[in-house]
Amino acid sequence: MHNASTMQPTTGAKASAQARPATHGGSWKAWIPALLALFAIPPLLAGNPFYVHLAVLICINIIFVNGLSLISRTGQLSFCHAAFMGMGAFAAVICSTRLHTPFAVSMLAGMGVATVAAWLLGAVILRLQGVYFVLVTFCFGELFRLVLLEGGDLTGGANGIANIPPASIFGVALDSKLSFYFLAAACAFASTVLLVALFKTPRGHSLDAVGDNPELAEASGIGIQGSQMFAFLLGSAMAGFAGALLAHYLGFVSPESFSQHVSVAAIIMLVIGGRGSVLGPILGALIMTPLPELFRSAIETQNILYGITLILVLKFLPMGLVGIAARLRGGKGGAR
Amino acid sequence: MTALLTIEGLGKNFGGLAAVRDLGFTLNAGEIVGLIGPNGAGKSTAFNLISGALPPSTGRIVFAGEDITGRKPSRVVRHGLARTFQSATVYPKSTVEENIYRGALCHFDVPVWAQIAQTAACRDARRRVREEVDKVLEITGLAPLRHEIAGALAYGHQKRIGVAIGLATRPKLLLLDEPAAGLNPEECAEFGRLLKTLRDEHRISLLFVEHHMALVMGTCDKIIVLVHGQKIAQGTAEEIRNSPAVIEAYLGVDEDAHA
Repeated sequence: MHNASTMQPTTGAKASAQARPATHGGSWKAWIPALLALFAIPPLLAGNPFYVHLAVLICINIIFVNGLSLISRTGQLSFCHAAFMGMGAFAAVICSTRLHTPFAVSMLAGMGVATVAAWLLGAVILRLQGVYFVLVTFCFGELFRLVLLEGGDLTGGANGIANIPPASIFGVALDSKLSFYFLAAACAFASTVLLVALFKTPRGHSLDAVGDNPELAEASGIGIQGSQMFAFLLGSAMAGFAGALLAHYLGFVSPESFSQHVSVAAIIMLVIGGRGSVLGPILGALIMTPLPELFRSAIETQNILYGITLILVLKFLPMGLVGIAARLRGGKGGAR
Repeated sequence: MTALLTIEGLGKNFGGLAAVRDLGFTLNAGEIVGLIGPNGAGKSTAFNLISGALPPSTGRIVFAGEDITGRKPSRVVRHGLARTFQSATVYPKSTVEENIYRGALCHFDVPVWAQIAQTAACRDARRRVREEVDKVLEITGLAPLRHEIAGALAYGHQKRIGVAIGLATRPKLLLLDEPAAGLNPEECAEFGRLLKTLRDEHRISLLFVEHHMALVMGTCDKIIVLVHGQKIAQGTAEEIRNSPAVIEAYLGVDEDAHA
């Protein structure tokens, strides 16, 4: 599996590994400036509102896919990630429009509702593994969409809810695309930093252990269910947060915004970007978010193209685009 | 001597099949106990019952003074009862050191926020984990391989890593499922020495399931023989060799008997 160079005795790379045993992930000195530079690009394109719009969507997708990536690192593939995004969105919007809560409170409510729902669902279904978990989450996602459609006045049924007040922080209304971008970028940055920090801790390492070999992890004291529940809660909370953000950005929510297609899109972003790396969701969101806009003329064939891309990536780049970087560096990538 | 592990009336039914019936024995602190029997005798089932991988249908398992019947493996391990697997079971993509490190996380109970904030208590706990990893690398002789990728190593090394992961959880009792299976005679002898070192120098009791008669007879203080899910004999190597019931049911038909 690994190339022969890893079998050779001490090299420079190994000496540094010796200095920091059993830690993963690049150094903070590499992460922080790279992320800041990345998020600083869109304001320079502020002349074109369409680019800024795309940049906001990319940021929201980064938070969304970060959540999914956290869950997948413990070995579970959630097909209802969009449902938690929808819960966050609808809970936040109902708070904002009915209870007239401030934006920050609505965001917390959205995240809270998604977390509680994940806890209730996870307690029941996290004992399932592999394809059974996938099937049940798929059903739950569909169930959630139907509940939204039948939700009457509360969810607005098929029409959804419109006229959502714009986001505001400390009394400053973020009603322009560019001002909202700064909020979305800060949140995407924070969620990425949280994941990088988490996967530098023993807790993060134990999540990876469960993903790599659940039976062995369980037998050596790392509980499968506890780890998967932790990842499912935090990952779903991120989805809820992303949903609440999206709703306040677009000013409108409908059940179709959180259908199975959105869950599948998140999985495609994760797989193409790269599972098992904090960089994966960023790359995936960066590349896959603008594509529907570029393929707009080929709207019927769009899904076919995604399917083919997904198969090709799984076949030739099982670790996604991040895998290329790791391969170029030879052996164990520091990008974890 | 104090009983470390007491098994009483342990049984497991799979549908109509009683894989283990009314099994009972005690293991004293500092003992090496072997569990032997022909294929299908229920050794592995008994093993999985004790380690918590399977819930028993009947009976009680008391370990270090506490009833651990029906507890999940991850909780049993934290109580000091670790296990290894029959096949080489490692984290294949990680280095040897990381494999052992993941085992040593067993007793790492710093809350996650403190881990992210890297509080002093967390740094202390992490230093202790690193020391534990170094110690286990020394004991198992894996130190020269610490930076190798586990999945790329030879089968014998991988089995040793499996034991090392178990040791990193700081067990009072280590259960080994066929530790010698697939090893060559030299590796097997080395393994026997490792087992004795663990008991003599590190005060770890051992219970293992094994087909390799020379290893069992040479290392075990007590041997338990299972046939058709039931214990038919128990005693020292000498007593087992001379037990008519064992000779009839087991050794008489096993090609290892005259080894």
